[in-house]
Amino acid sequence: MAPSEDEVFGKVKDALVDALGVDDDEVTADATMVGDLGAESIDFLDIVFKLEKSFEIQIPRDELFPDDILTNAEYVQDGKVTQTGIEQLKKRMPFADLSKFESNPMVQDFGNLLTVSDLCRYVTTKITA
Amino acid sequence: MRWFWFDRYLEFVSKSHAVSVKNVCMAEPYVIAYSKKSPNYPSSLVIEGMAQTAGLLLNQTFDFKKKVVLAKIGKSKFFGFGTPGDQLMIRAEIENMQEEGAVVSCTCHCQDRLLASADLMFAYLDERFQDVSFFDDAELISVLRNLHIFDIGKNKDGSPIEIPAHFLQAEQELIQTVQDHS
Repeated sequence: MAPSEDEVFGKVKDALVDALGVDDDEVTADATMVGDLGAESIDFLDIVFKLEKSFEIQIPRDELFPDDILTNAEYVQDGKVTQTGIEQLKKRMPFADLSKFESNPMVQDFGNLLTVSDLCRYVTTKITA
Repeated sequence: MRWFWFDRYLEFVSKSHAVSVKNVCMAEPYVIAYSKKSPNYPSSLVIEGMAQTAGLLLNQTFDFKKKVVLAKIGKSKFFGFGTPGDQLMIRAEIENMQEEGAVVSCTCHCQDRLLASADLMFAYLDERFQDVSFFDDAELISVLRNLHIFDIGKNKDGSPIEIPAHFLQAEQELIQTVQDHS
């Protein structure tokens, strides 16, 4: 049986508390991984390891963090993701809410896009796949 | 070569686990550095020994060609100190290996007493660091031989691990250089 939303959130929270050394109450659904929880690039690797173990899933890095889009000149102009790039991101990251990012899609802000709920949604898609 | 914080491997199973031994000795300056009245082996060096034991275990799977660095010390707990005369056993078990790095779970025991445990995360440096050289091949193979990796190292199927060809070539070149200068 697939785990409930609460169970998924609980396990994701445990992984984040462990990987980032943050307090339980800091891990809210809306918290952003980088801005609110202070995740650095190396932490994402750790988080991926922990989620894979906890949920017994495989997480290809380019699924969670499609860096290839952000470094592709076809999708980035003047430091901003183009409309075609946004479409690609939406296709690759259906679990993420890109609405805020879309209003000013600066590449440098992309890292701060992912929230805890995005992560939960992503994990859920992997479990139920 | 940098300092090594364990003396040799006792067990080495490629892509799985390794056990190394560290003999704590009063002659080591850092053993008495913190307290002459109560000499002990610093916990930070236990972590370093774990990292070296685990780092080489990981790098062996790449024929020692990757640049493997300790990226993060996860959950770590310390329960006691090793003292002069103690033999510390460090066990490193690979938990997760990916394209970009790995997590290794480590423990340090003195006989049946658990002194420390830690989850270590390693990252593999990418092509941006291709010009950075950590070790010279001839120097590294010499250290690896002294650590007995190739004497006791096995693959999971029980077959012995091979010495990578680039190491053998580096040794040959070193021998040739010495002969040329003698």
